[in-house]
Parts: sequence; C-alpha cells; structure tokens
Amino acid sequence: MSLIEIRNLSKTYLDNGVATEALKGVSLSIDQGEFVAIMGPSGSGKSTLLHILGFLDRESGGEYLFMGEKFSSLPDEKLAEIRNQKLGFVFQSFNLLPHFTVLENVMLPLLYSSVPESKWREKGEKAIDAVKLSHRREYPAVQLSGGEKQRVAIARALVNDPSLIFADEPTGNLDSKSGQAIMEILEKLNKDGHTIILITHETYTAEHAGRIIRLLDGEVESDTKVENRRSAAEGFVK
Amino acid sequence: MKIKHSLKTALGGLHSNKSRSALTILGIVIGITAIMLVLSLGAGAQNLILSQIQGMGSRTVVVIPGRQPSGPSDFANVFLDSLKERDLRSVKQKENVPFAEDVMPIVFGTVRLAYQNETYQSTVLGGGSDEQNDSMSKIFDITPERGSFFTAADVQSKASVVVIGDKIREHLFGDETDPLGKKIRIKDKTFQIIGILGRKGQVSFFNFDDMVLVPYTTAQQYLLGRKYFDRIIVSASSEDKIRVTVEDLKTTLRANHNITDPEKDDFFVETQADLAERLKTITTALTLFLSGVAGISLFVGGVGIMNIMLVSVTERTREIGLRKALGATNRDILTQFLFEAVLLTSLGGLVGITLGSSLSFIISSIISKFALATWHFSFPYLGAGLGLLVSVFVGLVFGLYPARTASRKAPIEALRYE
Repeated sequence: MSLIEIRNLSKTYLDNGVATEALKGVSLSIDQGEFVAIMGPSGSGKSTLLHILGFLDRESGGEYLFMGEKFSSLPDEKLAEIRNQKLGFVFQSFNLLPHFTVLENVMLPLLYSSVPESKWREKGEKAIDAVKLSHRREYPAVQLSGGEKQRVAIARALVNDPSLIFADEPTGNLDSKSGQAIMEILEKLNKDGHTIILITHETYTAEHAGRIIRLLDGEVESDTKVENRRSAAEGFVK
Repeated sequence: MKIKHSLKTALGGLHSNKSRSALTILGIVIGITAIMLVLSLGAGAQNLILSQIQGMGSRTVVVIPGRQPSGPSDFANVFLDSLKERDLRSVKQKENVPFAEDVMPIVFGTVRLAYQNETYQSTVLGGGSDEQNDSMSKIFDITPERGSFFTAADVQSKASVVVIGDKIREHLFGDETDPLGKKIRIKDKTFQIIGILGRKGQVSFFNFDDMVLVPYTTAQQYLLGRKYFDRIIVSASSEDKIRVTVEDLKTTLRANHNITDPEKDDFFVETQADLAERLKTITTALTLFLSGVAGISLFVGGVGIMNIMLVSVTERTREIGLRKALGATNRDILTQFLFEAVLLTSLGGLVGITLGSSLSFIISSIISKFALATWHFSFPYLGAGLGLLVSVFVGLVFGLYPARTASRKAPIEALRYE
C-alpha cells in the first residue's frame, strides 16, 4: 500500500473572481520510505501540491488517499491532528519563534499533541540530538545561524516521530556548507525509515532524492528514478 | 491544550512584545486607577461625614425654622424667624416633650472681631442654656482646652463672655500672647475671653476652630439683633425615643404656631439619622457618577486593546500559520490570543489597583495632615475586586474579535504572509 496515492488531483484558486488552475489533474503515488524530490519552476504548482499533501489546504477535485484513507473531507480539527501526529514540516524560512529557546521551539508540536507533558523534554532532547544541536539546547532561536535554525526546524518536524516529512526549499536560504549539512540530515532520516518529500527548484539538491517528479503548469511533466544519487557527503555545490 | 500551557504560551507572546504590551495596558491602568481613586476618596468622604454626624450624638434632634425643602430647587427661605423664645419654653416643659434630655437654642451669624490692631471676620455661635451649665459640652461634645464655657448664669445675664476657637486664637494672638482673660471686641462690644478650644477640625458642619462662642442671649441682643433662633437642638433620652421626641416636638410647635395642616409647617425636624442617610445618598450618587466617568476610560482602554491586538494578530500571521501547520486547532489559537488579551487587561487592572490605592493613600495623608485631621484612608476592597473583575471582562470582550480573526486564518495564507 502506498503512503500517498493521488488520482487526478486538481486545485483551482479564486482570486478576485478570476479562477486560476494551479493543479490540473495530477496523479502519482509515493511509498513508505521513499525520498522524493518535487521540482518545477515557480508557478508550476509544486507548493500547492505540498500544501494539499500536507493537509494545509484542500483539493478542488480528484482524490487524495493518505495511508489508504481519505482524510481531506474531515473537519479542520481532524486535519490539525493529522498534521500534528503524522507529518513534519520544514520551511525555507525556518519559521522558528525567535524568543523561544531551541528546546521550546522543538517541543512546540508536543504542545498540541496528546503526549503527556512528562515525556516532552525527553522527546525534545532526542530530536535535538538527532540534528546534533545538543550544545545549543537552551539558546534562544534568534541567536542561531541560518544552518542551525534549519536544523532546529528539522528537529521540530521530527519530534512527534512522523511518517512523512515535508521539506519546502530547506536549503534555499542557506550557504552551501549549511545546505550540505541539512541534506546530510535528511539523507540520514530517510535511511532511518522516514519518508521525505523535498521541494526544490535546484537539480543538484533534487538529485539527493531517489526519485524526481517534475511539475510544469500544474501537470506532471516527468517522474523519474535518479540513477546516480548524490550523497551529501560528496560535497554540496550550489 | 491545557490551560497551563495556554497561559504559558500567552505569557511568552506578551514577553516577546514587552514595550507594546506596556503601552497597550495604559488605558486600562488609567481607568482602574481613576475608579480606585474615586471609590477610595468617596468612601473616605462618606466615613468623614458619618463620623461627624455621630460626633454630634446620634440622639440629637434638630428643629430648623422654615419649610422642609421639597426638592433641589426649593430653598425654603420662608419663615426663617419662626422659632421664638416661647417655643423654647414649651419644648423645655416635660409634659410637652417628655423624653427631651437637653434642649439648647442656637443662633449664628458673621461678625468682625478685633484685638488691638488685629481684626478678623468670623462666625459667632450663640448657645448655652439658662438652666444648665454644661449644655454646650453635652450637645457638641467639645470642652475648652483652657478655661471654661459660659454658665447658666452668664446666659441669664447676657454676659459679655466668649470662648474662642483655635484658629481665631492663632490669628488674633499668635503663639506669644496668652488670650485667656484678654478682652476682644466683637462688633463694637467688648467681650472677655473665658475659654479657648483646642484644635478640633470640622465637627458636624460647625468648624469650631474658626468660631467664637457666646451665650445665645448675648448674641441675640448685642451681636445679631434678633429675637428668634436659628436652631433648637434637642437630645432625646435614648435612641428608641427619637421618633416619639420628633412627634412631640412637632405637636408642641404646631400648637404654638396654630398650625393644623402638617403641610403648612413653618419648621421642620431633622434627626441625625435622617441627615446621615441623606448625605450618604448624595456621596454614593456622586461616587457612582464619577465611577461611571472613569468607566468610560475603561471602555476606551478596551477599544485600544482591541486595536493593538488586531495589529498584533496581523503581525504574527506567520506564527499563527506555523502553529496551525504543527497541529494547533482554531480553538488553540483562539485561546492563546484571548488569554493574551485577558492577561494584558488583568495586569493593567492590578497595576491600576496598586496605583489607585497608593495615590488615594497619599492624597488622604495630605488631606488629613493639612486640612481635615479626621479624614481617614480606606482601602476600597469592593473597588479592587470589582476593578479586577472588570479588567478581566474588558479583556474577554475586546480580545474576542482579534482572537477570532487569528483563529480563522487559513494555515497556508498565514504561512505565505510576508
């Protein structure tokens, strides 16, 4: 069974009465444990696809099965719960709460979960260890470098042990060295069994994934397996 | 999400925007401070008035010439000369008013005093009794600090003797001269000073500090030139005899004045309890009115909170989006912002209560030091409780709209917001 199964998915935005078709019947499936890169120029619909897959938005047409179930018609509260339990998000602009410490930022998803408070610290520290930031645990997020911030964001995405991690241009705001570190972490997470969906417009970054789906004008242009997968350890050039 | 964490989250939000949070609560602080001031000073004034009235004795009944005012525009300036010597005699007769313990007529007016080159305008109060020596002390609860009051014999003989208040002593004699036994001129007549009152402050609408006291017979004949009395003060033998005494007084005086219809009374009788009640009503109304005015500033403060919370919600759109992406429900976001608003206003309320009571404590201290020694500071517990309640309420009411706006933001719209 696929983790994600979409059939003929479409999304139409109404902007001041003008309808814009962002997705025009996209079909694809992603299995548990895959590392998929979604590529495409801006306006190709890759962000829209990510929002729908991540239950941040609802499709206008077609079908979306997540773990074999149709969730997208459920009420907002239910979707919030799925985002909290099953999904992790890493954004291009980190989106940390600047005055909160690293640990507090990482524990934020737990605040909205049913995990008992006694376990929060342990889970938070484990996630921070996974991104090798233990020495920064009590630092306010505002004092970190860009690469460190993105590692905190990854730890935050990990803390609830999600099945699926979305990374939306995670290296977009970073220098090549920090970007390499981020890609290393994502590779490692994938090896440990997490499914990762990476959105990027850089071919080089995309080639870290096992499969590249190219979107153009709201349609799947190509869906190919990467023959020579890059490893972040080889060096990261932008 | 648990209340504890909502609270923590809200606190974190406020902490991140310290100076703005402080400015936001200013309106609430001012409103609550004003209410606390009004309530505290209002209570102080009320206590002062009540204690003064009690100072004159709760058994005291006052007969006042003229008609009882029927409303605020009715000044009842008729029949001001209706209480005569004959009425005094009748009231003093045991068969007419059996429970009258003490009866004392008083007259008052403004006179010019002179001692050597010093002159001073002051109030003369004529009192005393032609039968008892201690009427003044008993009715007004005052005794001269030095010397003594005039006696019944002084009243009978219309003696030119005077007891002076402390302020008059200070003004005419200063601290050097001992006034006792000295002669002063009151309206061209020479009086001998037989007593000096200590500083008393205001006692029952009479400021004895700024008064000269003479036998009423002397005041009537030589100083004011009138045959009638301004008041007849009667003290009932006990509190439960006040009602009877009032009725007896009315019957006696109506008989004297040939009045059959009580509507046509040319006098009225007032008890200290009536007076206390009336003044309490006035001060309460005044306090309520001023609190209402202060309440308007609370409303304005609330609107300010709403305004700034709305700005804050817009500014923190990305944070809202992030929290939603991480699993926060609409209700979580609503709670967070509502908590922030309530925390802000409660904090404003607490600051206002502290500020208001400190200020009124300072003002009370100044009043009691420089003006009225009998003024006491009273902490308005009711006002404090009410103030806190109102500030929480203001936070809930004016925080609701911004919080709803925040909670309804779609996660992607919020994340996309720059």
